[in-house]
Amino acid sequence: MTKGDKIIIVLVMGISFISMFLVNTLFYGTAGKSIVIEVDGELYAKYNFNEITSAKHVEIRTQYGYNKIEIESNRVRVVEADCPDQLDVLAGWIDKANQMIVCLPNRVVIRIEGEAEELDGVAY
Amino acid sequence: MKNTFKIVYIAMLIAIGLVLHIIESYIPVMVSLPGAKLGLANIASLLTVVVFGPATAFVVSAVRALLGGLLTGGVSSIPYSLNGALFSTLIMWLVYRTLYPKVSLIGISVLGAAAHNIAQIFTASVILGNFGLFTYLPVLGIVGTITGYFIGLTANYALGTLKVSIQTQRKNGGKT
Repeated sequence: MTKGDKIIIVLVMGISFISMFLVNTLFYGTAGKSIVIEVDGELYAKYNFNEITSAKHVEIRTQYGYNKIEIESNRVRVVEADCPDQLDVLAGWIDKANQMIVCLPNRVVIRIEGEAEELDGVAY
Repeated sequence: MKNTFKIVYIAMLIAIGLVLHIIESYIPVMVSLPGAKLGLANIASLLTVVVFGPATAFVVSAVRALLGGLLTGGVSSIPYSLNGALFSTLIMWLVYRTLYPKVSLIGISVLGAAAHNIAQIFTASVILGNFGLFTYLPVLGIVGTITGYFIGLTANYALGTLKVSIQTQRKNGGKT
């Protein structure tokens, strides 16, 4: 391994770790407000977390495939899918705003939307 | 004679890439790292870049990605692997041209893996119309650097043997 290789490895790793840190701290919010399901880039369904009282199962059946998701009061996951890699099922629960689960073969994106920036109060 | 010789080598490199592509699809993914893979087939692309140059390397990686997608049953994944393979071949060739031998096959392979990941995520973002997928790039970058290191190391070993083999063939006019 040459010196150039080491520089490249350190650079790529460094950039990756820094941007991973930035994504985790800046992009992912705390709690989510609603779940948005998109298929092929278009809105398929939307659920508000405060309307979910008990665990709810939603089946997504489209021309691209089948996914079954489970929604709880503050988190969501994919329980079943007909895609070959099952990566969406392996992804497990997501519970933070802006996090997402993607099933590429079925073109499904499940993401959590956060609170719109609202002010609790203004002090003068 | 020389042409036949080249055709045979290209066919062999495609075959090697294809077999590695298929073997890789049998390795189960333990955790959820969408798009993360060993990139074994990249060995063939990398060797082609070094031995035969960019034009041949594009053919080898494109044919490998197409046939690999068909043979492993992942037809819907062809756009991702095709774009990934072509873009990573382009980057590997550029790095090879400008920085080799200051940067060995290891560095070339690491950057090739990074390019593959970027192209793959870009393709997925366009297909799904969601550029938020790029938040996943850092994780792939880390995994790709580790796998890219080992792929480069492997290609380094293979290159020595391949070069000797090609020289012997050329000297003997195609006869072994």
